[in-house]
Amino acid sequence: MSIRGLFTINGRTFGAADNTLFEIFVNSTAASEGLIANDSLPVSMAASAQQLIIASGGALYLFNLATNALSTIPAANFTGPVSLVGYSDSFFIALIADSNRFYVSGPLDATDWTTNGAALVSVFPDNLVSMLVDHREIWLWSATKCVVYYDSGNIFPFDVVPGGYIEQGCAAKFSPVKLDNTVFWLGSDDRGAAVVWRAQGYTPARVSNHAIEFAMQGYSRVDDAIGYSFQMEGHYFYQLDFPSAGKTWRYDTATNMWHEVGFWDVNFGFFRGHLSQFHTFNFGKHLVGGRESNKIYDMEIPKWNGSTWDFATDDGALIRRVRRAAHVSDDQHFVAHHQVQIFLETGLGPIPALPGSDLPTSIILIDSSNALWSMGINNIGILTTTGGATGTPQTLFFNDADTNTTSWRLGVNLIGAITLTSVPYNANYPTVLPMVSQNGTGRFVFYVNFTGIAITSPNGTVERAPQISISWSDDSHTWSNEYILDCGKAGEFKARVMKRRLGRSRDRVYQIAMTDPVPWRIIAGYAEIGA
Amino acid sequence: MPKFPLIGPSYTSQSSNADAQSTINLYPERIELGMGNNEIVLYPAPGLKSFVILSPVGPPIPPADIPVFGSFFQMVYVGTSSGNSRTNVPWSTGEIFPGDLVIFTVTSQLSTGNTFPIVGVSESVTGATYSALPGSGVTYNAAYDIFPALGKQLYLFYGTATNHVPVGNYVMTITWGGSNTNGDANGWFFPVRFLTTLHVSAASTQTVNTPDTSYSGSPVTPSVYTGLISLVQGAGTTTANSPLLRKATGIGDRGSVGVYSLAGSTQAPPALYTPSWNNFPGGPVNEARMLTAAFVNAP
Repeated sequence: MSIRGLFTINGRTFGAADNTLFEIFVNSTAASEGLIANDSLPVSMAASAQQLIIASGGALYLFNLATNALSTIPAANFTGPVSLVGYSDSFFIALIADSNRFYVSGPLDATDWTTNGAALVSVFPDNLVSMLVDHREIWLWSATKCVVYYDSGNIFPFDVVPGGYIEQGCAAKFSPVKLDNTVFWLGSDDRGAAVVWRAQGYTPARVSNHAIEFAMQGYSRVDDAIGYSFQMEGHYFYQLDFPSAGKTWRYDTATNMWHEVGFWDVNFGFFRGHLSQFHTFNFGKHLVGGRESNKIYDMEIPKWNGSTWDFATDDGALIRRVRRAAHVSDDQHFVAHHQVQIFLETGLGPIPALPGSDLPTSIILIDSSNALWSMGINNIGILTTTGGATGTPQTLFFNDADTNTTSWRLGVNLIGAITLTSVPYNANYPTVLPMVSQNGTGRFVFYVNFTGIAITSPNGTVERAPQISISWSDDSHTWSNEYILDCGKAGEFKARVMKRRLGRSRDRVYQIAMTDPVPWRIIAGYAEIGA
Repeated sequence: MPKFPLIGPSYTSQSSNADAQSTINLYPERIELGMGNNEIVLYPAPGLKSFVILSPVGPPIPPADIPVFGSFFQMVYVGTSSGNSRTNVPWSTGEIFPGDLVIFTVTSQLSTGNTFPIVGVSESVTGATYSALPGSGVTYNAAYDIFPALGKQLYLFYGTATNHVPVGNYVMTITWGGSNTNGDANGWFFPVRFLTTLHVSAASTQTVNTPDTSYSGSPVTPSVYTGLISLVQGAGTTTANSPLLRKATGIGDRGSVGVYSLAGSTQAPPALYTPSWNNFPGGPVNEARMLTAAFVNAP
């Protein structure tokens, strides 16, 4: 059960979920447009102004954008299952699975596949793996090579571009995307697979690096990779999702850097692949969907809504963010790490603050037989005493909170009941005692009334700031404990995130992790390191 | 303090001693003017908000990567009202409807970190969804489906299975918030005794009288499971196996934690109740729930 594809044409968005084609509307509703074959693989969609075609499960469907009628294009038009579709220069293109054949429709007519018929790629013998239309050109990949066709205006409209031949194939049918005014794909050739390429003209340029390739080539399979591209804040991202491996990578053309995205499985404590596998932009939103459900999501960077941060979670599930830094070493000298500061934007906590916990209050009292009791407060505000306590007994005095004219000494009797004994008035005594409940989450105040009766009242809950955890490895394999650092409640913009006395090492890697639903903007790391 | 190289992209080399950088759900951004507090900073990868849920029509087809699961069994709750002590029930709560509306709740669990589709394909069944994966021996709420009338049948799930493990090796822990010795103050919670049919590999059929007597079939390695559960009062049931005639003596009693071993007959013979929905102890039945749990080796 999952989304199998998203497509937008002229402000109308269509999505395939399992065996059904939907139109998705701006008001977060959707209408079923009919049934399509379901092989649990992504669908391929292309459109003219009047017609939308969908290749799904080997069958080809036509959705009339004027009449909203979905029909099946007879399979007899083709020599085999339709694998992928495209559109260029008023022609629909249909790639036939497990062949070197692609069909071109009649002009603006996805029901006519005889006028132009089919072409066989002859410049290489391999079957075609993937296809993408970009810049009015048809890119056709085998597993080891690529050829590009253009609209030549001949009787069969498309011919091979002179020089449009690349000795680099495609490793995953659904990996090619249009991005940054060119084409990106997960490549393969006779020498190996799982290198990410971008086209520079008709020359492939490697955009993956050894580390990314080491990761990707370690996956059990890469041919099921699914790519999509999107732009956000001027970053043009290429996302490659590896369903079998449960990994999702993103490449940013703005920085030429890779990062990983994933859904944090709180039950098992590890990352799975990102929830999105398909993307379209419409209604001013990045609409994505794919893995694990038939949900279409709105994807956006965290935005302040006046009290909390929208888009700071994955639809309510906490997003775990991790940064493991580069090595810190003073030429392998054994040096002390006196302190580390994580310089990030602090004070971004939500309003009200995140629920926290604190140590429950424990007041040690002594009775007349010198037995010790611990006085606390339960979760609903009732005072408790527990015998057999240890520690130093405390002597507490209070002035009554009603008039502040009487003073009382707090004590406990032989059966553990709280006692209040009148003592001479002293204006310096407090009138209240803040307390934390047994479960550590509730705040109460204890006070005494004019007649010497102990009273408690709730005083809110324990709150906390957003937190990060910091840990480190001195051997790149084993890790220290995680230490929690506060990052400032809402408005605490001057909060500093620091950890002192972090031991000594010759070579260290720091790691920070965070899950609280705030926008984590990490500027730099500072470390005081020396002999 | 001098800077250390905290900010950067993912770059985990073959040897983590060479470079072990990792950047997950954060992305680097270069400060283009070059006059910022750092050349590169990390910003949060975008989050998600649900926009719309597409509800396919017709029978769903399992995803290609349906994961491993082992054995399963069903338990049912039959009661008279919503009650207010169900806080610890590992099911959806609050779905109480008058009349004979049955609330169908499914839980599942799987191994290897994959997900398991809970698929309802009967008419009028909605809300089919995936379940996240708790560890072995832990139940986990997935979703509920509305089952409109008693006597209907509902396909629970199906999918490819490997590494099938015998039924008898697993223990399930169930938390049930109730105060009555028979379970919830307003209902009863017990292992299902009525017929459960397992279609195995679409080629043979195993009948399992689950679960508190024995597993009559031998462990198999099926390629497809189809769980067919029939909520039937009377027909197909007897006083010995009707879910309406049973109460638990070991599971869910007193609303605490019950441990039920599928390996053997840990259940004492049940007391019998009048075989009628309307004569059910506590009043007319207007609620029934079922739980299906798949059991697997811990990942």
